[in-house]
Amino acid sequence: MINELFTVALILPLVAAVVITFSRNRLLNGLIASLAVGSSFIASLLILMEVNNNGGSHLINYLSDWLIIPGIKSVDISFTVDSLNALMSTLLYGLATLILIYSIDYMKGHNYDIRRFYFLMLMFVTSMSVVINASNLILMFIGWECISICSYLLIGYYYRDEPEYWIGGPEGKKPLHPPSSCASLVLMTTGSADALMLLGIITLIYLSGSPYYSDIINVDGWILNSDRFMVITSLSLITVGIISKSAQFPFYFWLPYAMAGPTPVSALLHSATLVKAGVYLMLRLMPALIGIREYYADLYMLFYAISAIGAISAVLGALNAGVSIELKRMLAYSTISQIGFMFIILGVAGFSETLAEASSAGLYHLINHAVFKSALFLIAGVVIHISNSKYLSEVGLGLRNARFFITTLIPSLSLLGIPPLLGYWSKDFIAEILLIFQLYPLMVVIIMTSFLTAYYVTRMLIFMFSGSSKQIIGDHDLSKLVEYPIMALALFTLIAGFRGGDIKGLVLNLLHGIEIELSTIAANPMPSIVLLLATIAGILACILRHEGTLIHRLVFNKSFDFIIALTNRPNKSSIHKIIERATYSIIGYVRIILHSATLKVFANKSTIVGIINNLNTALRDYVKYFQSIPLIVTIIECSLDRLVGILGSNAYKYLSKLFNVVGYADIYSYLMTYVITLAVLLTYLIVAGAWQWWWN
Amino acid sequence: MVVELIAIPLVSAILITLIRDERWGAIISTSAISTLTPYLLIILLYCNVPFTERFIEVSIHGHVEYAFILGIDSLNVVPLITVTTLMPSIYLYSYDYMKHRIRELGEGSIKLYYILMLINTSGILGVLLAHNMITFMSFYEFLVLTSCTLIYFFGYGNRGKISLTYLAWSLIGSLIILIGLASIYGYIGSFDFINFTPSYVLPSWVCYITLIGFGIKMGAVGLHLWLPPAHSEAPTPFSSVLSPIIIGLGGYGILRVLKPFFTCYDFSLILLIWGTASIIYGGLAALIENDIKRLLAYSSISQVGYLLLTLSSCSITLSTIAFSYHYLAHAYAKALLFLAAGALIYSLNNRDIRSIHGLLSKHKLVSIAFISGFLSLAGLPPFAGFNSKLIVASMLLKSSIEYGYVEIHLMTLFALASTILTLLYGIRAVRRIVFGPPLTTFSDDIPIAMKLSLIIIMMLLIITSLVPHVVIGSISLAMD
Repeated sequence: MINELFTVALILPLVAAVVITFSRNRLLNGLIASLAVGSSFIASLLILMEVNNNGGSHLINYLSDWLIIPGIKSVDISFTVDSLNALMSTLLYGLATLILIYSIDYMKGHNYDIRRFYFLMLMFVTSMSVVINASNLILMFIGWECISICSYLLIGYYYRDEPEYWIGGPEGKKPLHPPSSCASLVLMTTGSADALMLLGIITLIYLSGSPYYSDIINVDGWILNSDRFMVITSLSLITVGIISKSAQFPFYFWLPYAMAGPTPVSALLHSATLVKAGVYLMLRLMPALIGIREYYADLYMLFYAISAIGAISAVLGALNAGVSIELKRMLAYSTISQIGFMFIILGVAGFSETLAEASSAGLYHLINHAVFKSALFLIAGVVIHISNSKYLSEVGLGLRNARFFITTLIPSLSLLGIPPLLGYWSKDFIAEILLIFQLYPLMVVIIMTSFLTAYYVTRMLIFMFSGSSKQIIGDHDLSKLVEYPIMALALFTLIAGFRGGDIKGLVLNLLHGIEIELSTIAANPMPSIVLLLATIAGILACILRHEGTLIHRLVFNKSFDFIIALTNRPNKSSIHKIIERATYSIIGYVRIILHSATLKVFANKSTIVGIINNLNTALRDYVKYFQSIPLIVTIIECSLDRLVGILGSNAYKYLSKLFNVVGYADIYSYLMTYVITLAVLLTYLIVAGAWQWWWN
Repeated sequence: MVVELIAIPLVSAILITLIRDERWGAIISTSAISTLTPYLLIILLYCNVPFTERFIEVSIHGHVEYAFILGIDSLNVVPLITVTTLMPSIYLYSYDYMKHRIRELGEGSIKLYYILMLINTSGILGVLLAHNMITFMSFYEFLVLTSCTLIYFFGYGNRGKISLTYLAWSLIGSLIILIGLASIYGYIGSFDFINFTPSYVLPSWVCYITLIGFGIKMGAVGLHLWLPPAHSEAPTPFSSVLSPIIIGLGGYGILRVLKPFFTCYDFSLILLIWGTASIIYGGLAALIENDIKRLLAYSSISQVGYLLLTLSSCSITLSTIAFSYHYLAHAYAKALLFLAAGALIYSLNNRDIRSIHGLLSKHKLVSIAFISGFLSLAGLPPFAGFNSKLIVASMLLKSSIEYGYVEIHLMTLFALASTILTLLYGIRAVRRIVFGPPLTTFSDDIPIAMKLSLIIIMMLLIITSLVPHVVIGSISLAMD
């Protein structure tokens, strides 16, 4: 039964991809594509239920001895169906169905051949399904590269590079990037890392003697015959591929550029599925990694590195999202940040003793994030389309359409981690595990990121729905086909959120067969309280920053002006600062003495309010005093400021030249990408060699 | 039995001289070349490969000194399949393109072109089939002379000078190879390749000098000076023969003649370093080149580096498999790219990629050919290049893991990491040519025959990537 269902699910999108090339009708093509992927979704749902009931893993072999490489087991075209695969496939097909329905109406009104869009989307769904379900690493890698190609061609979908499809800007202030440059940059980054990953995969295959996951996981069988250096090298190279595909720290810069593609592409590929391929592969290889860790303790370093990369990406992504001026790029940075969470917890799964819980938490967050982030992207598509601008400051919609507002609010709040919604449960799960193992630095990172997340989500909502109601939704009248997929995702976020605890248990049960009682999961309210506080602080911080908002005007009157004055202090030159601080220091002495004296004198006379007033003034003077007393320190500080400023801006220029590769620089940046990749590889080899020499 | 593979092109070349109509000349030669593939398949399926045939025997004192020996074995089966499957599309493509070129030149005839091409093809097949060093060298000279003449009559730019440079370099290469082969004969007392076995130990200078000779033929870095002008200024359909197939024959020569005598470690290291240098030099040069055909020529230098890498493996079986697959994948991809570049030249009369953009809006098929060709070169699925990259990487890593030389392992990793360079110049060229607002100067249509040949080669690229078991199976079939 599973065999037939799986074949149907795998083949249908492929058949549809061939069928749609015969017709130019947009509606017909869209219907065929959504129907095919929808049927695949139903099939994968049935498989999921079957696997949930009976468990175990099924091997489906289509062609034996496809690729014979001497010295190892021959590669078959075969697929495995187990609980992790079934869950991921269901997610993929479900989201793809909704997004394809959305694109029927969304993709109209431009003079590009719609067949290419559907063909590539369906090919992507098939390739992604191969990545998820492949039984061996070679077949997985083929799918892995195919999704890269699909992503390349879909980002470059508007291949004539008309100015309205360029991203970046605004014009004259920041560089603009045509879709073709963005597509090239993305393929260059991920392709380079994939080339290294292939080397890692082949080395691993030779060491273990087999490309199959089932044999690689059986670590005891091959680890003793293999060289320690090679094992670590291969795993590190694979990790490079994984973090580049999932847009993590050193390679994160490609994801914002990927936003040059049509919005459905951003929703399906660059938020929900393609960028999660790395996380998925990590989950898949986790048992093998844990097994190898038992033999070679320096694999702990790898796990620490993964956690650190996740942490850096989480903070960096959230920071960038907070200052991003384009709606879709902001969501892309947010994706980087959220995937950082998954990597943090996967690293924890490696170096602590909670493989089952931690990897389930990672998977749970993956699923939740895929749902609400693709919903947000679809909403962003609508908003951009209606307001005809990609910049956050120009997309004000007003609150005329309440239904749309609520539909937007639910996924946004889920991203924030507000309790009954899906996002809360997984974030809470992650925080809880970190707290149990007393990983306070990572906990701090999570709290910080929650704060920043709240900040940028609130900022997004303010920009989207406050403003001057320049555009009214009623004019454009949302098509049902566009609106219903978004509502379906929002509803899923809401309803599944109420059953979040059960789903958490289900994921745990599916992955590892652990029956967990709900009471033990919800026992510690500490992490959720801390995260909620951080979130509320973030929301407040954002509202405070945005003077012009309605809420701001309602809540705050003039007495709070000084906070705004503090946060929006205009820049002053160094000399000015020095003079100012010197003045403060002189006045400070005098005033502190005076205030102390008045306090002493009037202590018994004045009211409590008076005392507090005096105390306030005194404290403020103290602060200024301590800021300013050592004049020399101030001078040094100011010149340092200047130095850092100069160095920083130059470094920034250099880095932007390096990373905005295709924008204006051409050959030299290509060369730099190459040189850097090689340099990283060489440095690694040298360091690893030295490490090994020292070890021996 | 296999002598017909050489005879068919030669006989049809003679036939064409008797026919006056140019169109019929093209039809006859194309259909004659098309019969090679089924013929080869019949041989492979119904005869016991490996086998050899002897025709003319020259005996001195009852001892056979020379025999015209042809044969098929594991070393040449895949290159043979490559040549016979690729050639029909190139011949099909040539008619329209060369008519255009001759109109441009104002002199020459298509009949002459086809006659030279046919002799050239039989030379290629002869080199591949030869099992004797004299046969090998004489077919090689066939090939060089006709190539040189083709460039001289139909080439671009300063074609007289370029063809003479090419001839001079090739003849020097042949001379050096001849010295090497003569020395090998002096040491082992036989011309037949069947006697070239590891049991003979040759002095290293013999191996080095032969290696240099084949290096010139391949255009590996350092000995490549003739290659970029010759490959870029040849008539485009002939570039697609010259670039992947003929320079690959140099590598085939190393595999056939030198590989049995290699002392593993020294030669492995030399080939590895030379190959890596070639890959990086060719890749960097391709990255900054703006003439599309020169870019492809430099890319050939880079790909020759991979052929050298495949030869560096210590085991002859691994070398054979990796070399064969890479020969096949590179031939298809590079031929496709040259033919696509030819279509571009046909349509625009411009080769500078800085001034070309928006091809996808006008000629979809040619753009798809460019994209798939470059993706295949960079080793991405679902094209044959991926399998080739996978197999080359696994053979090299396997041999370095097995023999346990750490420096070779590191060098191998470094060399393979340079595939990134291929990806970079490919993406750069695609971005420049294919994307962007369309130029108004594109001519309206490309003849159907040219389109058809592009489609056929693209199908070959995809099909060979889907059936690696058949390709590798044919190699193991031809092993004893």
